[in-house]
Amino acid sequence: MNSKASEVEDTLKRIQSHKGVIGTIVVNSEGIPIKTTMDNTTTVQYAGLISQLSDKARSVVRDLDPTNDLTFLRIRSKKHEIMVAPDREFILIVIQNPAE
Amino acid sequence: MFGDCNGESVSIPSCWKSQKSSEPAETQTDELVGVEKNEQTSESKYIEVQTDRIQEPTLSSNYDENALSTFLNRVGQKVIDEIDKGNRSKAFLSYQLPDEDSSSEVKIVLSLTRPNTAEKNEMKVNSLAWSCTGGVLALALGYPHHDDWCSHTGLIHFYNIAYSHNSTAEPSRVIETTSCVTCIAFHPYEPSFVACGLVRGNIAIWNLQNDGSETLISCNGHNDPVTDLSWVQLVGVARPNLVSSGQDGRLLIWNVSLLSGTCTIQENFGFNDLETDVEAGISCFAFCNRRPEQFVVALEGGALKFCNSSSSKLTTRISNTVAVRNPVVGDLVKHNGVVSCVAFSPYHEELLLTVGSDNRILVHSVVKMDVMREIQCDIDLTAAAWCLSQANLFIVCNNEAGIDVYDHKNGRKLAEFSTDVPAICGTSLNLKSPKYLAISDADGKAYILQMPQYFQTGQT
Repeated sequence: MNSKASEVEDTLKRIQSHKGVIGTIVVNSEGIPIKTTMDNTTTVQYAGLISQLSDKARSVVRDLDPTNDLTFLRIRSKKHEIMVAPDREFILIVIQNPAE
Repeated sequence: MFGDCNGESVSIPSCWKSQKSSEPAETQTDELVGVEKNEQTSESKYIEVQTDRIQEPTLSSNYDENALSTFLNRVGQKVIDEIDKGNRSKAFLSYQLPDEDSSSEVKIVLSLTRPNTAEKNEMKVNSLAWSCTGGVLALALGYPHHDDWCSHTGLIHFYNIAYSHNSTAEPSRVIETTSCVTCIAFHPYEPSFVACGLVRGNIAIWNLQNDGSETLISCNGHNDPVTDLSWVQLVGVARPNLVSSGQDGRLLIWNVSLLSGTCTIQENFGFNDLETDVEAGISCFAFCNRRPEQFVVALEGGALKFCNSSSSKLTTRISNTVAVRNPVVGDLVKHNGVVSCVAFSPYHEELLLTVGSDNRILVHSVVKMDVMREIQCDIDLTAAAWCLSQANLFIVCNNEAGIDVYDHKNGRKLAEFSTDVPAICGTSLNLKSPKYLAISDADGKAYILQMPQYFQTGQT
């Protein structure tokens, strides 16, 4: 494993070990997961749905103001809080149990 | 030599006859001892369990490690900061989740009563409509059968739902009409304007802010009873147009000016070939929400015509100085009976739900011009509506007082409710609070039901 790869794993581990975090997924621009700490079905579901939502959110932000861009998306639900950090090439998805 | 001789008698004891003597004798048999014993044969079963193979996450390895590393370095710390901030945040501490009605049944929340007049009890509810605010429900009342010219007085009852705290509600307003009312439609954003179609073929519009029964606008357009009425916001037009269909086979688009109180025919659509003299009446129609130039008309006999108002062919017939045009683009799969409901999905613009008296539910795609889902039922279906809270679901009512919820994606019935109502004839969903469903029954009564809003669809 080269140094870049271990750096990636380190960062993901650091996020994963944080309080309340139940899963971390990195998705590429096509919505295909490339790193995950969750099981296959959940990963595929989250990857597909969240990348669609993030694309939609980004286009909303850009439609409102073409010079603007989406930087972060948080979805708070009854059971989870999903944090999405979108980028041109990747999307980082962190699923968290909301703080009690 | 010869002499008498007496032979001595010889007696020979008979040995074939002998006296048999018998005497009773008893024998004691040994006591037979029976012992019952149960024997259980042992039974064994073989069960095989196949565990699922653990699927390793299928991860794509097609990515640039360097780019990912820079991305995570840039974003990772920010995400961690956000998580920390979220954990410390007190933003949601006092936040109460909105009251979710978790009841999974349908209950009647309001029975709508009518002022008790004997001769009017035979009147049936022909149509129900909610106002745009969701606070007022209007019932269009009329006699069900007409052999002749309608000389009845029709009624429209308005119920103010917001002010009723009991389980029954009296009409807050009653309007009398010149003939029986067949259909009713509230203006999409002016809550005080309501339009009605009458059996005699005319259309009347009221402003509910004015007292009394005087109409704001009354206009004649159809030669036969009006069958369906709807306000449609067409593209490039400032205010919504009123669209009416009639048993005379015409679909009229009206240009209504509420301020000046005028109503003129803008478009006059006919759907039949000119060779036939008899035109099939229209039973109902629906306009596509996002592309209002597209609409579907259900003709008597069950034919479904997909139409486009911009590509209509001018026919030679002229009536009322507005040329009759034929907008039919294609035929959808027809019902073998009267179509009771056509509705475009509010979420998928190409999906159309139709229900007919052949007890079939069809979900058409107007893009593919084909049926996407067909559900055959064995009871009479009377009404249908798309579910407003979930995009793929729709509600179908039948005349055995049942309300079923289906998923159009897989055709499964997700829920089945029964009501105490004799038979549901018509429904209308409250657009503002979709948990309220207004229904009318075969006895001419109307109720407001509360039903669950969310249904488990499962994995698709």
